[in-house]
Amino acid sequence: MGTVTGRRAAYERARKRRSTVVATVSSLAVVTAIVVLVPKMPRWDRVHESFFNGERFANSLPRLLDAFVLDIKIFAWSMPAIVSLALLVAVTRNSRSAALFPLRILTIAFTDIMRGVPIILWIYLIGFGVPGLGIDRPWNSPLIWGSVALVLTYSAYIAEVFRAGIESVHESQRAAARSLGLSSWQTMRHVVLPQAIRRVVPPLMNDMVSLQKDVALVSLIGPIEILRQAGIDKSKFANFTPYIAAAAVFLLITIPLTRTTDWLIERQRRRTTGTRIS
Amino acid sequence: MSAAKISLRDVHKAFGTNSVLNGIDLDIAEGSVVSLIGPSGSGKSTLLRCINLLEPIDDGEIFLDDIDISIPGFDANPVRRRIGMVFQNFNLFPHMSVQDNITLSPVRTLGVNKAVARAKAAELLERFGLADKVNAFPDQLSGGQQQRVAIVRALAIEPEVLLLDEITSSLDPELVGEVLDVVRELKTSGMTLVLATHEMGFARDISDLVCVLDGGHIIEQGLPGQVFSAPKSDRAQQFLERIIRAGRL
Repeated sequence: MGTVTGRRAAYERARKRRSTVVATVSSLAVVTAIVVLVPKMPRWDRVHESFFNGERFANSLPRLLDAFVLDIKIFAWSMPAIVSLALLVAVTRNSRSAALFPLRILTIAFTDIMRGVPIILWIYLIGFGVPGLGIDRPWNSPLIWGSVALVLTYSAYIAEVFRAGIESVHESQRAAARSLGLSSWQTMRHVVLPQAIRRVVPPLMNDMVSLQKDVALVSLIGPIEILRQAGIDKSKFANFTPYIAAAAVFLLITIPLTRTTDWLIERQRRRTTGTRIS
Repeated sequence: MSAAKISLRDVHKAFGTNSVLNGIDLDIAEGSVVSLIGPSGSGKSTLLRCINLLEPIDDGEIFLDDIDISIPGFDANPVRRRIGMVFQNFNLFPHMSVQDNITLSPVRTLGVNKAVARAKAAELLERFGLADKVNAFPDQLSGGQQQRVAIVRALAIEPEVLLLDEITSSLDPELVGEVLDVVRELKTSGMTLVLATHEMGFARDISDLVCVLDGGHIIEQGLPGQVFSAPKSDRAQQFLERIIRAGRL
């Protein structure tokens, strides 16, 4: 194992060299095509000026980064709320106690309704509707109710992720726990949930990447976070470059998150399935 | 009739339209070893699961020390702490170390102090030759070791009765012996044991009472010598002949 002798190893080396060459050549071809062809488009000069203006980029970036702090704040307080509410919904929905039947129906209605309507609509409805009830400052802030809308919709999606995890734990695990005298709640808490959560970490991370971007939707009802700040700069200077700058700031956060997610998925696949079929 | 530890009276159980137990009557004396044998699907495992109240029965009664534990709504958790169970596929908790598997129930359900539970676990592991596995995870153990840990886990709550559901059926042949040795030791210690098994030779050697199940009925029950050498019913005879032809006895 691991030695570089033998015909198998020679074959693997040759194959690896070949795929490296193919990958390099094809990547270069694609990049060259873009770099050479796009500037040949008739209006490239104007697009270049209004989307990729270096001066505007440098001018906007500090303001955008400042505004991005608000995105991070919304994310930071929404995420724990989402995970807690989603867990609560998933556990309630999976409970088998007859007494919880009305709550189970409620959780089903909750997930169906929250997932059945676009997030933007919820942000408008809750963000404008609830403060409209005449709640006093500071509790009528669109920031709060926009976040609440995010929390409710995302909890519905993530509850389903948790539910899939809970249902993937084999019935025999419950049988073993119950046979030891554990109550159904103790079984859930100590045996089922720890296994379920471990299994759903990768898809959960995926949803966290989405949340990180959807935080920007809260700007629709007022708060000045990065997307709205980019819009303001765009209008002020009649130039779209701030949007490109905002996109770059998002990528700065989402790409590492996405890479981590893929790495987690890959690690879990290796742990659970062993060898890989090429 | 001596006072039975567990008594079953006319127990019926069906899954949908598939009736699995059709009127089981059985007395399990304290400190005795009772083996349930019979073809696959005859109801052995279901019977054990019913005794542990993992499956509610449709009709009949199950008594533990003369108390009817099969009354609908009877609190099953305290009963299960008195009747331990070991499963065919071990069912260890994969996310917990051997030690945590064993101490989970004593700590959570009996309120035993964690340090005390750990000491007790160490003692039991020592007794069954698993002392070095205390911090291992189930995946790192052989099947035989996993099953012995599962037995220790069931013993840690100090049950009065232990139900063993085909505990050697998913083991490689060379690992069966180490698990059966544990069962022999438990018999010596005076524990009441009820086992569903396909290990006929073992059942003959260890049992005080052997029951042959077929189609949800106990078609034959008696001392092992009598059941294995001179079964009274035709169907029990046929079953044992098949077993002997297959070289399992």
